[in-house]
Amino acid sequence: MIFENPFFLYLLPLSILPLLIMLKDRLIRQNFIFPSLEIIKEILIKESKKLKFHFVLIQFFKFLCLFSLILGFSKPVISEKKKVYTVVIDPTCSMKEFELYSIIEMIKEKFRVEKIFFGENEFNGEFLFNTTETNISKILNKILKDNNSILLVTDGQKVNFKNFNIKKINNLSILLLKHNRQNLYFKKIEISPYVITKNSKIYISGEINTNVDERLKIFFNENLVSEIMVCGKFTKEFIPDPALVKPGTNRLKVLIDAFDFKSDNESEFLFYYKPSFKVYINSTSIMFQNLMSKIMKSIFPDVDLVNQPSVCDIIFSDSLLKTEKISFYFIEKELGEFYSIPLIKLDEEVSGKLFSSFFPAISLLKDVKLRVKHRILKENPLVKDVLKVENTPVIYKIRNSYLSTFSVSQNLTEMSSNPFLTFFIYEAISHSYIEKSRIDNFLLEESIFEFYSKAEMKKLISPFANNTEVITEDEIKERKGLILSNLFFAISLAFFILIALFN
Amino acid sequence: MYLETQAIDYFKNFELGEKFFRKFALEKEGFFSSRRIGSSMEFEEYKEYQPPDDARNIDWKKFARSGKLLTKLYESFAHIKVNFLLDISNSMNFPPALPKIEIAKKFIAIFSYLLLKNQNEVFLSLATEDYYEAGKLSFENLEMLLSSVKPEGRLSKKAFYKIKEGGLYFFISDGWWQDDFYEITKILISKRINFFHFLSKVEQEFSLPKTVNLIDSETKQQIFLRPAEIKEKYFLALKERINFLYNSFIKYSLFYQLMFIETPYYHNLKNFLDIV
Repeated sequence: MIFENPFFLYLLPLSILPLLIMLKDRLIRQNFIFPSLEIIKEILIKESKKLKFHFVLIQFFKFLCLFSLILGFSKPVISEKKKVYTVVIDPTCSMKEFELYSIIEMIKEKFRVEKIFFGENEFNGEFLFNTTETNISKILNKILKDNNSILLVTDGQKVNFKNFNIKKINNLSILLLKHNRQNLYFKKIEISPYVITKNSKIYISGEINTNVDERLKIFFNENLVSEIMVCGKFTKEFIPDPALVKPGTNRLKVLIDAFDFKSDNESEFLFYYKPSFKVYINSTSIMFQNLMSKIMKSIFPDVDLVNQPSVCDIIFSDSLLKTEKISFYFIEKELGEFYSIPLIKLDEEVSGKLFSSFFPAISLLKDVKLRVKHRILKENPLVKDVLKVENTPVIYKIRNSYLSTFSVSQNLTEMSSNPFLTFFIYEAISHSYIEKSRIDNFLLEESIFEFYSKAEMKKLISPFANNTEVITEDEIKERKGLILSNLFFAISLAFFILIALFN
Repeated sequence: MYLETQAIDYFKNFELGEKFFRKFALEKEGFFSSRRIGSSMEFEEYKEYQPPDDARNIDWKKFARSGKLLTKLYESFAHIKVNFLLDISNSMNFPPALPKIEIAKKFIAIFSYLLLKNQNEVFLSLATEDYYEAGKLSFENLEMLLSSVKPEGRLSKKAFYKIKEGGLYFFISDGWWQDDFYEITKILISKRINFFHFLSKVEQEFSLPKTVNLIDSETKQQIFLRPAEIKEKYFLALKERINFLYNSFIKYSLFYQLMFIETPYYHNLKNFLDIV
């Protein structure tokens, strides 16, 4: 039996409280002079034995009532321990990510475990992971015994189940562990920009977990484009080969391929490629036009300035326009016109007048909380001057439109050199295009090393055992067994009623 | 001070009426200790006027004829001999804060006052393991006699054998007579003794601590008890006793009056006198 709220068990000594009180009453008696005991004696002669039994019984009931109540609160669970299991832990390097000690403890709570194997060898308390390919069938066939039940703990890499074939057994259960992050070997990895045009440079920056040189391989649309030796922090920049780039969404993968092992997962990023950006600047101010075109050109090498908003990709404007294009508004004049802005998240409209002096609309839109996520990339030359990004939101997104607290009435030279403004425009555009990719149902592959899903795994193992089951870590945690709480509460209530009746 | 002003004030406009005296006179002949001449009822004889005789009773016709101031005297029922028999056993010394015996003494004091005012004779006797005659009560010795009474011993039936027959007896006790309960009840009835049963609320309600070592005030015997366990049975037993006493006394035309000491004793007396 296991307890889901074991801390309640510390309260168990409290259940003997009624017995202690009884003992205290016995030992510390209060003397009381009464005129005569004649009636009392008569009663006691008749009732004494009954009263004593009655009293002891009530104290015992009180004890049982409290005991059951506390046990009920501690949520006792009877685990499924009919079958005797041999637990086999997949020794693959990728299993390093999991808290295997606590997983073993959890399994022991839920299953009746006879033996634990780590790979082919009996588990001796230490995990020495394989750095080479692991063959699960080979391991299982070596340790299988007739009529035994196996519980295999694995992350379900397809490569490890290649040509899976074992002797038929009675019970085969798989505890399918799920990786929380894509790559075990990268501490962090970032790329920039996410939206590229012709001749755009891609910057890769990150940090790997190993202290020795490792081979970093970069694939662009499944083609190896670069191979470098890295150690600790690294940065890499490259211009993708135009022959490999396709319009729309592209993918970039990064993995470590050392001499003696191949990392069994990797990092993958999405790019949006657009040969050029058509920008419409809606302002009578020459200064504003110059500023915006300068900023755009600093981000994207290929920018075409157009005169019609209908053919543009991005709009920069100093007054509000009714358009569905990606728009950046830099409002400085008071706008008398009444605007109605549809909000995506709230699924309702916000109406009101926009005033340049206080930007009340921005205050209103804070409630929408659609902040563009700012990534701080120290290694990215584009934003390396931006060392500090304030927490205060400066950009508000409403559908495809971004409102900024920057005002063009500020010193234009200062503004154009403000890397933060540049960064925000770049981020906003990237975000919009990557979002578009997702809307286009572009599926991000998890890894070049495929993992079995629960259903696939079930299908794979079912020919090899009479009873099979595939469970996840969450499911095993939730596996309650028979919860006895209600039973104990009922017992407690029953004793409570008995005490009330006897009193 | 047993004869309290508040009790006297309470009975300021109260006189023991004819009804009271007739009741006891008719019910028990030979009550009269001596034939007395009083100021009420039927005319009996003349007596030479002497202050503080009531001037209203002067027979002015006789004065005109004889030149002597003669007052009319009447035969009265008022002249009876009343005996208060007080239980002074240790059980009467309960509850400690307001012992029954003290209330009983105050009760005797005011009752005696009312009787003495009507020129009756009042005697005090004490009952415990033995019977003692404390003496005749008067306005002068009332306080002294009552204050000399202290609780002691355990009530015994032997004490009742010594009670002289004749006269009006009121026995004041709490009814805790140990093993002699039924015997004493019998004797009281046979000797035509009326009974004022004094009880406290604690005894009635059995309102004791949760667990207690009960000590008998008379025998000093100890019993460990959880009063709540026997409370109901105690009520029933006590009720049974009270009913037994009431029925036994009433059956023989004797007075049985249950009095709770928490009720002012003069209220209890007034209730009794009203019933009479």
